[in-house]
Amino acid sequence: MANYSKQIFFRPTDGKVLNEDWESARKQIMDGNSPSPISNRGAVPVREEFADIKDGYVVNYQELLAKTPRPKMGIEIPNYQEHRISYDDTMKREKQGSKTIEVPSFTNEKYDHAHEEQRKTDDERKTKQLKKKMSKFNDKCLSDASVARDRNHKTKVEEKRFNEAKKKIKVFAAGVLLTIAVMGSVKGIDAAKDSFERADTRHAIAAMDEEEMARANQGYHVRDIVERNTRYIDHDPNKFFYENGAIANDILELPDELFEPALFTVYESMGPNRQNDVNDNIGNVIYNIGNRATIEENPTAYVETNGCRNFDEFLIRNGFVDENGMPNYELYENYGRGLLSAYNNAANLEYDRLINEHGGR
Amino acid sequence: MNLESVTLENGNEYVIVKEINDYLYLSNINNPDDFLVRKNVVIGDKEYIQGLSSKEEINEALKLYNESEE
Repeated sequence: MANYSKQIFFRPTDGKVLNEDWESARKQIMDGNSPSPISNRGAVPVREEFADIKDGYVVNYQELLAKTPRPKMGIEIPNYQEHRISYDDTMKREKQGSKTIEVPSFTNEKYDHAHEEQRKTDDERKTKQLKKKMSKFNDKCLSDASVARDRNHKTKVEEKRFNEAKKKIKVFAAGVLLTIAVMGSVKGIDAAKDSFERADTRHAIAAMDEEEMARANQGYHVRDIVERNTRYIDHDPNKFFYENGAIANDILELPDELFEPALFTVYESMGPNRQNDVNDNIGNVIYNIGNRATIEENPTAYVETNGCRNFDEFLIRNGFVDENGMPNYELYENYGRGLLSAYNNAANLEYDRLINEHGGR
Repeated sequence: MNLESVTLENGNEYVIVKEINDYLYLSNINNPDDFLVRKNVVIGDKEYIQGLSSKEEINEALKLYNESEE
């Protein structure tokens, strides 16, 4: 990977460098000698040039930890990812007491389909909101009435009043365009940026109501993620890790409707090698969130994502299902679909990364 | 300053604060929060101020306005 230094992993409790264990574990998995020890569970990734390594320990690990965006301990797993993986069928079967259990697979086709369906639902909801919001303005503009125009009919208006009128329309126009753009997912992000920046930002914000403000913030949030990613990764590879950490965390905190657009916009702004690195970092963040939550709630449960060759293996290895495909109801019940989805995503990202690393599918 | 004004069907008087292509951006002379977009239509030798025909046209008009204020 051009210009990138080696990424190392260290143990957050004492700074011990874990790379050797991690690589060793991955090799075991790739050689088919699984299950392997969980070698990088809770490990913190960092670019080598940032680490002061001595006798197998990162001396400045506390400083690095302080600078590194990390998920908070005990974080409540958000449900934003629930829709992203279709577990509905499986969960229904469980509730109905059926003995036929289908382990949910995680193929791109299924993922895309579930996602597409959710997008449609989201779009319908957003369209409804937008219609309500603009209906008053539209009604005024769409009138059937027609009045004769008399260009000679003039009214005296103070310049201050004239400027105020222009500004009101300008702010409204910017807000509407921004709203439409933000709701337009990936392609809308650039439009949101353009339209919003063309307007006077301060006045535009001042004129927005709470809902408009929220949408504007979301648009900026997404845009910032993309811009930061592009700016630092393209022009300052040394900041790659830190920025990616921040990107991953930002994306995780986005609302449902912007999670995927942000993620894929980030992906689209990169070449394949960088996409793999981002996969790695995002996967790690998601992985750590799930992992820490699991450790806190159930110290005996091992959760492993890195190195799983497929999602079935992931489920089995972590005890969500047994080797016959029977689910561990307690784990499902305890951790919920959102958490499973996070694991699933991390496992899939890592799976793809490993496959790519070894020459593709 | 003297601006062209028109009394619309609701009885309110609006001044034309801007005209872009055939779109007219009107502001209520007594209430700057009341504004709308109409368009100029020429029929024979007379001009009329009419409503827009679609929401897409409204968005287009807003876009033009936004761009004009860069």
